[in-house]
Amino acid sequence: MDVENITLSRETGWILLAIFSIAWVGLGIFWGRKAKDHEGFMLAGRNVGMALGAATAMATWVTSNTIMLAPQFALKMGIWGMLAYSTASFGLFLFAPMAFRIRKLLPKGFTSGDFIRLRYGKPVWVLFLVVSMIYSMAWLVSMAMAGGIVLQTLSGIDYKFGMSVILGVCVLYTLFGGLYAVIGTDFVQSLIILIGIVTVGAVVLTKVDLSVVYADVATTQPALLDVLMPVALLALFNNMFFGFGEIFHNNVWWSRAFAMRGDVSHKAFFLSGFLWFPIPVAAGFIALCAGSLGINVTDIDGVGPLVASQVLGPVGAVVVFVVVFCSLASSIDSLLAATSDLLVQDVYRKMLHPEASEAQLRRLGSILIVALGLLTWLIALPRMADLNVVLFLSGPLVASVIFPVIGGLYWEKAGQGGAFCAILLGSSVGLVTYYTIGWYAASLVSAAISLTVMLAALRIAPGDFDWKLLDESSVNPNHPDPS
Amino acid sequence: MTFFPETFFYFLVYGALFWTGLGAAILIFLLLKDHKNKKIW
Repeated sequence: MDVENITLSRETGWILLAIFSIAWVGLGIFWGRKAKDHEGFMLAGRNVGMALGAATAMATWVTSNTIMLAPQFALKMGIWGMLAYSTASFGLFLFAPMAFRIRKLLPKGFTSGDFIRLRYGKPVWVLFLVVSMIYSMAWLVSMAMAGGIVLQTLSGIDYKFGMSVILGVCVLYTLFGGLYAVIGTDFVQSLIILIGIVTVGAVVLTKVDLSVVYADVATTQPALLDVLMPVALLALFNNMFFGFGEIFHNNVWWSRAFAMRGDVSHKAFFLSGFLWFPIPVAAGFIALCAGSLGINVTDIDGVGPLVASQVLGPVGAVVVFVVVFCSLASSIDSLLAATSDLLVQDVYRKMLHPEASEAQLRRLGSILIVALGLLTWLIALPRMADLNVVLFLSGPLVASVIFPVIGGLYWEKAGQGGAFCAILLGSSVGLVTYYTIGWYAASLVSAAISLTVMLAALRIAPGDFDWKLLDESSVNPNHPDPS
Repeated sequence: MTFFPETFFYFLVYGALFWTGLGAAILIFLLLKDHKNKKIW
């Protein structure tokens, strides 16, 4: 990293870190007081309204990766790169009707694992949990790494210290407040993210002439403006399917569907997609301005924050710092909460200890939030790979789950064998594609294989599922405390 | 090589910034509406 790239003093960086750390932990404790029982802690009382529902879905999906990778996509693949990243919002749009159906079929559901277990049985459930845990850890690690990188780029705070503080703060307030804290802070964070991105973009536009940027890119890197850039077009579809896989399977989104009011969930998810769609372009275009501004990009991981801080000076660096911190926090907290829920409900309660009391579940949930934070910290500490590698390696895994989830929700003839083979074959061939062709085709291939297997299974060995089996509310209303 | 037209580049950047700002306004409006109807949580 170039020392001249640092635009905030280390002291300013630490002060900002301290202010926002105290704010998030304080707000987390404040909202967390509403969590009176385990269901409140996990699902915020199942009564979240439109504003908080849309904001939490949007803020969770605006990860630090969006802020960091969207400029990278712009720099590597130009206009198509930014649009490719925007297609990740289609997952939110398409999850909207699914959220409605999820609420209808599983009125008292807790996790995405609940659905897979009830719908397809134990073998598919175990495979699903493996895929989901690998993806969740990859997402957590990539965000923790992004936090360390951006803090170092902007303020010179050592990667290990910055990454540790951000992760520690998220663990703390998720621990105190559960989903109430996560959703409440997500709303504040979503406003800061949106306003921050617009502010940085608008100020950059006052410093550069877009026609000069366009001419510069056309001269120095014409492929970035090419309407038919093959890799970028592949990336567009790949990213779209990667996004579908991430959202359709992960408990982060299912827990929100369960947490929102029944009449709100589908509208809130649709709105969150609408709010998310322009963000990769708004945050990414500044990377294309680097050449016109004479900025030497030496560390592509941090190109967005670098350009913003170089153009806007210390104030811009502060804004970027805060936006990235909010993006990180809004996603890390959600993943910590949803992943610990998955482990508590699906592994501990369903596999190991069905008679566990509410107090035991709550205590274990807290322990797992801390354990997940520690594991993430250990993996992220050495900063082994670049952001793309960590994130996109899990792409083919989650893409293989898209059609088993859709089929499970809408096709009564979808059965266990087809779903199992679809996930296994889709993941395997997708991973081979990742290493033999590239990340930009892996999710696409995985989803295509998975769909083919599901459709073939529908013809060869159709099932006949009774939708009523998904409703566990009569069996287990609100998980009464046996103690 | 066929380039995206410059006007499209303008439209994309300015449109994305406007749309993002509009998002913030929508969220604030919805929060006030939910608060009025006592439906925040």
